[in-house]
Amino acid sequence: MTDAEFSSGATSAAAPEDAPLDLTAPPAPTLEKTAAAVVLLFGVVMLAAGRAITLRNETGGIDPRWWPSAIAVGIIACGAWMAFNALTRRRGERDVDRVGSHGWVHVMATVAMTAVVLVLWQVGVSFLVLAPAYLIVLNWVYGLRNWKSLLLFPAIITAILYLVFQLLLKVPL
Amino acid sequence: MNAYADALASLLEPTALLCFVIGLGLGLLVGVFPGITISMAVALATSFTLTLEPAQGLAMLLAIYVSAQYGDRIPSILVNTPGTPAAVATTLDGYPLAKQGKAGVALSVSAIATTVGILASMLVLVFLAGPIAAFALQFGPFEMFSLVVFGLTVIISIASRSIAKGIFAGLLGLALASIGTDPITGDARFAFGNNELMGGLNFIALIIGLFGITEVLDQVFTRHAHKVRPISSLGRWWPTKRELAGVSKPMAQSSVIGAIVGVVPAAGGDIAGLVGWNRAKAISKEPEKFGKGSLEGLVGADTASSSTLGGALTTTLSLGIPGDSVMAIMLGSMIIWGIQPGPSLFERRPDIVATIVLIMVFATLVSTIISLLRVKTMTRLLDLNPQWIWGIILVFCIVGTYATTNNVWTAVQMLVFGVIGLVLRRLGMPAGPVVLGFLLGPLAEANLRRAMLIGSPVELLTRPISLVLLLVAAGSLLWPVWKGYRDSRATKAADGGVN
Repeated sequence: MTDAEFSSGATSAAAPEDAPLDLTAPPAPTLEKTAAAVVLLFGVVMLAAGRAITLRNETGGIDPRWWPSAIAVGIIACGAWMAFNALTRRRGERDVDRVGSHGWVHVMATVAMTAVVLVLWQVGVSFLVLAPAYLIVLNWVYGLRNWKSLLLFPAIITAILYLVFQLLLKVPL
Repeated sequence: MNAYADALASLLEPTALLCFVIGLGLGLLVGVFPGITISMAVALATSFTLTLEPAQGLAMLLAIYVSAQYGDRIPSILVNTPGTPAAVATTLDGYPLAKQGKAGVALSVSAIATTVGILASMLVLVFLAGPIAAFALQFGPFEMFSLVVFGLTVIISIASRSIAKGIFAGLLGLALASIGTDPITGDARFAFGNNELMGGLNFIALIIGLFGITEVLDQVFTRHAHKVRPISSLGRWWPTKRELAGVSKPMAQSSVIGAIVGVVPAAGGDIAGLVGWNRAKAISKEPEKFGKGSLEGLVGADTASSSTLGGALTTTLSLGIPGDSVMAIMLGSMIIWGIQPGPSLFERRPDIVATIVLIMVFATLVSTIISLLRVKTMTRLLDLNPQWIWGIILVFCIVGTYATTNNVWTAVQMLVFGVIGLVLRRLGMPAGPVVLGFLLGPLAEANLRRAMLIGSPVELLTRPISLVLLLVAAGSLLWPVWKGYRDSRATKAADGGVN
């Protein structure tokens, strides 16, 4: 599929389609079990960290350790409940869409690029320099190759950022 | 009346008017683009409004909240894709009407239904919020703790398919809120010697991460090339007198349904819309047309979903328990402005209540006028590249979050919450309880500890109001579990019968 087709949706543009595609993600029992294990582990770690909170005055009873510990116990109980559900249910229906064709690559690239932008911003590179580069790379990764997406769009957005934040709101970018 | 006069004066200031206009425009755009939720837009706008006066900030946030109710009907009717979850039921009859060449009538009737719904719900806010707040003034720490538990459990039971996951999401919010210093003794908790963590996690970073970044990442993750082109022929615009008379009955019924559903914490427009559509079908003389292009069905859904707004505001303002995710964000903003929603708000800041009512009414009236003008220009927006929208949202999320503290660390928190939000969403864990837990965690802890100091835990069950709230909370959690168990037994029995 060409870039133009992708962006305009021309593959299905002939007529409105009545029957929507079933894009629901299939059941993932292993994922459910893993999630339960992670929740359990999180609860245990939080309980240990909660009990290890250093107090300036040991008063006992309802002290600053009590509330986090109670939450941690609740999380452990939820983890156990989720584990029970994951182990005993045959099929768990999911309420989310299935992953797109390059979903993993796109999402990892988006997170990585955002992290890089934040690191560079932290070390002193102006966001007004980072923003257009970020948008160009994002659009490239998402499959857009035309000049509007790679030049015009980043330039307009950067100009808006400059006007709204730097000039109007006096936010140092 | 003085409160309303003061509120009107503050809203007529140029900055407030500008915020109102920007909010209206943003809300309509947000509604039109499927996938951009009202929660996301309000969360993002919060980063801009923190430095404004409350009236100015509220003008922008509430204008987005109201006008998005109008914008989200457009893709529901023209593309069969709800602009926001509140417009899910609009697609049932809106799209079939559009396919019959009645898109124009569907859009204009939908706008009228939305207007009637919101204005009717304002009556709930005006007449019910005050008495509820006055009653809640009797609440002590025991009742306040039980109220927080009630609010959290209701949002958990409604927002999540799995109660266990919903409770975990709420507890995660409480856990995140416990990072920082202890509210009573000032001891450091989970800060690990990090000065940034000593002050606790940033609320704006949390909501923009969970509602903004997560939404974009999820769309990037699940993007499919399949796309339905909008119906471009709008046909006749204005409904006939007969058509209007035919929808008056479901409109009146759905106004009441939405108002009732709206008062229940966390039950939003999506639920009300479906209930309204169903009840409209039940009283219709032509139920067979429902789902195939019925104006009554469209009106039943749209009036009910929009009339939840007043109810959601009522619980938020009178009890300090958010009526929906947008209200949770609004509640956080108000706390940052130094306004504590809850029973005492009506005594201490009647001007804020009056300001909110006026903004809601004005935003509804202006949005109606805009929506009743032909919206051909707005329908063209449906053809915009989603990739561009992702880029815009990501950049504005980053800068908007940074602008609240001028510290990149806040934007880092936002990214982390965005990734956590994506993981939670893929696992079927809703973001609403996380935000509510984060917001209400300090309130719950402080009231529980205060209650323990002045009495015993048994009093949670011996004080009538506290007991009722805890019983309703327990019921809201146990009912879905029982229903799931009963359904699974019925399925097994049916399977056994077949085999």
